[in-house]
Amino acid sequence: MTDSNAAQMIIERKHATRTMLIGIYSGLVALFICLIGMVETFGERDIIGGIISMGHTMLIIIAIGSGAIAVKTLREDMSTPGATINKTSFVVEIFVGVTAGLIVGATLSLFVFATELVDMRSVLINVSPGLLEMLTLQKPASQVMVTMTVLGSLLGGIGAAIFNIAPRIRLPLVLGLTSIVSLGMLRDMLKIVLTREGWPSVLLNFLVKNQGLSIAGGTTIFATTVALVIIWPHLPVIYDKTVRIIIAYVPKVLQFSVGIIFAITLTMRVFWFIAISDKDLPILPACQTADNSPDVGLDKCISIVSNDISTTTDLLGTNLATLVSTIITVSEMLIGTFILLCVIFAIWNIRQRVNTTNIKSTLEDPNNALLIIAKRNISAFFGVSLLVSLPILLGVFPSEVLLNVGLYMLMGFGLNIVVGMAGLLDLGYVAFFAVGAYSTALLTSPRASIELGMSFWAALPIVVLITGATGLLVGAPVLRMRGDYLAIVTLGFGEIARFLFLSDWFKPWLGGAQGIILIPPVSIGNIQLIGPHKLYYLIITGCLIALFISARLRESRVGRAWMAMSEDEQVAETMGINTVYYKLLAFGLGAMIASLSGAVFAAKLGTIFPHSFNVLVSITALSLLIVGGIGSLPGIIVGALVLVGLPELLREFTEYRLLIYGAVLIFMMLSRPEGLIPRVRQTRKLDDQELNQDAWLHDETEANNGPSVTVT
Amino acid sequence: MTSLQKTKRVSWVSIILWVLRVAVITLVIYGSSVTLSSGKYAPSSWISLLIAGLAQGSIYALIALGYSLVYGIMLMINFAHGEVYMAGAFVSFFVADALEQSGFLQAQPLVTIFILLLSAMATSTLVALILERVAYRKLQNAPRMISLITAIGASFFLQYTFRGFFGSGFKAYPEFGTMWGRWTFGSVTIQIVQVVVAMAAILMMGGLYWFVEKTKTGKSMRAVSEDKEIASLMGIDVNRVIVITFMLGGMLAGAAGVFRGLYQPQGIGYNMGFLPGLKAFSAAVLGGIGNIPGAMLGGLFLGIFESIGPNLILQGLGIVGANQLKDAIAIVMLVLVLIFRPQGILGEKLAEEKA
Repeated sequence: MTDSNAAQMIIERKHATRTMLIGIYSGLVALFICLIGMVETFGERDIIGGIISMGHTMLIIIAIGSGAIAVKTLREDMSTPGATINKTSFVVEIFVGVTAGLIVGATLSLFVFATELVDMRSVLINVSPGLLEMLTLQKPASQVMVTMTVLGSLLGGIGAAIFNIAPRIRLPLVLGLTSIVSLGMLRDMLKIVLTREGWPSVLLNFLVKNQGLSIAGGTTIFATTVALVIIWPHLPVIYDKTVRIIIAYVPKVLQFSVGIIFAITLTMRVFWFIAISDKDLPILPACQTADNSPDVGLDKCISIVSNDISTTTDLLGTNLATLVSTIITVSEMLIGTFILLCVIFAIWNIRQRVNTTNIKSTLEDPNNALLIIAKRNISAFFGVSLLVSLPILLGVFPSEVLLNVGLYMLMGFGLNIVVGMAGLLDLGYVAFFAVGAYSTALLTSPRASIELGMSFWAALPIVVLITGATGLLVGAPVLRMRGDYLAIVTLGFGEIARFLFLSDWFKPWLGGAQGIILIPPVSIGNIQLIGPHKLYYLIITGCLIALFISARLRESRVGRAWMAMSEDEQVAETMGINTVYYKLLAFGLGAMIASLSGAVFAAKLGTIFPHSFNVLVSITALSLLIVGGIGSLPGIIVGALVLVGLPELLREFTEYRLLIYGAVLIFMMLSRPEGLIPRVRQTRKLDDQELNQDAWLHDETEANNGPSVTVT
Repeated sequence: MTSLQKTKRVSWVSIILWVLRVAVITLVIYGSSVTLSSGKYAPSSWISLLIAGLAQGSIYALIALGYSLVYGIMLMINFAHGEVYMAGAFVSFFVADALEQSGFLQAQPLVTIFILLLSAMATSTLVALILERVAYRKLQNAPRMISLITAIGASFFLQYTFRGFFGSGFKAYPEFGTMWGRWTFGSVTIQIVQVVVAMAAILMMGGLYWFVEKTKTGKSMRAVSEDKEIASLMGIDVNRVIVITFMLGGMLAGAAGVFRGLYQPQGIGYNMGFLPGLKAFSAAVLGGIGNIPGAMLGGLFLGIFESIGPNLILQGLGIVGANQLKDAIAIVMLVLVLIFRPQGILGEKLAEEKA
């Protein structure tokens, strides 16, 4: 070993201390999740059936993470200018990782040891025999202490080693493992989706083994992910080429007609799903229960269809019939998607009035706008067809999750107008949601105090107006307040709303703690939207409308006024923006959108209680906004999916939902206040525009001057 | 400028505000006159309510001081302060429970209270310090919205951490109230524990006032709240002052937690800090945020108003179940104060950056 290598082996005291601190912090985190009961709760959920549970996985991830973080910090320290040693060797890094992991293991084993000495159960309720069993793997504590420490250091070492693998291998490896863990976590959902008719049971039996994934399933998932990651860089090229070919060679008439056919098919499919099938079945078998359907005109078709399915079942046996229906579903989706693409091009071609003879030559230009627009349309239409077919593909329970995501997403869009655009931090947003739900209930329920019994659609405009007025009412007194005071006051308003709904004072009208019952479901014609898989379409429509409104508002004069106001109120006022008007407008609009969400909520549950409208709803809406990025519309969608969807998919999470929200809020504010998908700042756009204009002016002058020079 | 303001037209916002002002005053006067003339309550019951309100108010005042101190120094609303209070109450509950089971509590109630206060104050101080170190230290110069959102996050994180650690059930303190009994003066009965709580709280507030006004550290705290930059130029370690502020706030909140346990033994739970926190903030604003005597006065006033108000005003207005709206009163008061007198009772006209 040369001198320089020897020098690299030395580690500064500063680094040693830091490594230990990282180890201690990670150990404390591990201990924390043990004490709040996460490890035990998640221990019941196996990632790979009978082999490893999610609780163990969490601890393992912490141990590996401690090693990785220790190495990362070490490298960062070394790369700072003042560092005396600026290079590390593999051995040193492994050593650092092992040390960090060792401390994590030691912390947990000390904890196990302490539980042997003292009975903590009376105070810390989660130090249960179950947890200890999980930590010790049913062995006596004295033996386990050594094992745990060794295991911890081993995992820390692995964490350090991961940093030393070439990225080419590391990425597929890490992503493959992540996909196993996440699919294992979602095993319930996998089971629910796959046990439905329309999906082959072979797949289910292959992937899922009683508690978690089967080993074969895990391996397959891993292999698939790795393969995907490897071919990922080539995908855009293939995609590009396909799009070019479609644009160039598929005749316009064909695109157009096929598009129309598909649009009709899809509409009928959805209509079928909403109107006729009462079960969540994806395809034909749904009609077997159609006898209950009041719609006489459709009876004939239903009987034919149900005859069909029973004959296929007779002929092929249940398993094969399922397979057949799956094939039908999948092929339907594939054909549908393809046809949809054609529609896009048909419509697009008409709109752009592209000269077909020139297409091939334009396509050779790599940066042509044609391709970009085509791709954008493709993704848009892919999105639409996916949105429309999601509940058909997934079934009732996943649709329930989607519905809840939709409710919060809608609230997110509304709150985004108030918080994201106008910059008024509203923590009592639940009040508007509640007013929307309560006024819907009052107007539609035949049992409500005023006994109007209106239909949902007749009530909706009134609900929106009432809630908008409430928004103004709340907004008016807080107009003069700013920033943090406003936040606390609105929080107070949210609480007041709940107190009023709960109080005996309003009991004759609002039912007090018992709430309002018998809210009729939403119906379109004689189709009743009962069940989340049907209400899904309602909420999605609502979300799209809200998205559209938000997007258009943001680009409009109003949006710019809001933005100016949120940047600096006084300057905005000086520039002639009527801040009173715009603030009230923001409150009113935000309240209206929340009321839509509230109305659907009331229709979904059929019964509403004041307890559903607590401050946690506001906090959830705010968190999803912040995680996605304040003011960013795609951010809201992502935020709602992550913060509302994930905890609903993982039942164990619901217990810790707010704990996680809290941690996420702190974390985001400290490290990434602009959110996961930051909003594209209008200012930057303007800058770009100015630059373009300057460049254009420059070119113009050059072009004007150029020839004149040559002439003279 | 002044001439311009004189000729400025009356905007409709200010008209609405004036209408609101008149309406509130009319309602208050009308409600209380109806209640008083109905003679539903004897004077002695008003006095009992007043004492109860005083005890409750002193708890609010202790929490409100924490808000006010932190706001004065850092210009941020420490939304998680209610959870600091909750932490103190929670831990002292376990200590009290253990002491009760060992029989020590029955033998030495005063020493027990002393131990409880020590443990609660230590816990709350620890929580406040961790909060400051982990969540707020980095955000000293961040926009206020960001630190507020962080504080909200911290508040929920703490609530659900305690829920995870100690369970979601409500716990009941040992009954000091029934142990000590009550005093009777003629027709007025007063629970002794109420008097003890009010006295102890007022003593602590006096101690804080002395600390801030008379000691050198207190002087540096005042200097930092006046101007952080200049104070640091004068050789004051701003971070140290902030840490001390959080410590003081934590200590008072911990004590408030114990007093809450003594005074209202029921319902020690993970979310017990949320509403008192909100109310204490209202109290701090009412007294003038950043102002120490203001927070004390605001807290006491809020406690008394909350105890008397529903019976006096709301019942007179013919509202059924007026006591259910007790919690709403504090918030309505906060809104009214912020609309009509944002600087609070004792607050000087705050500079633009503080308001």
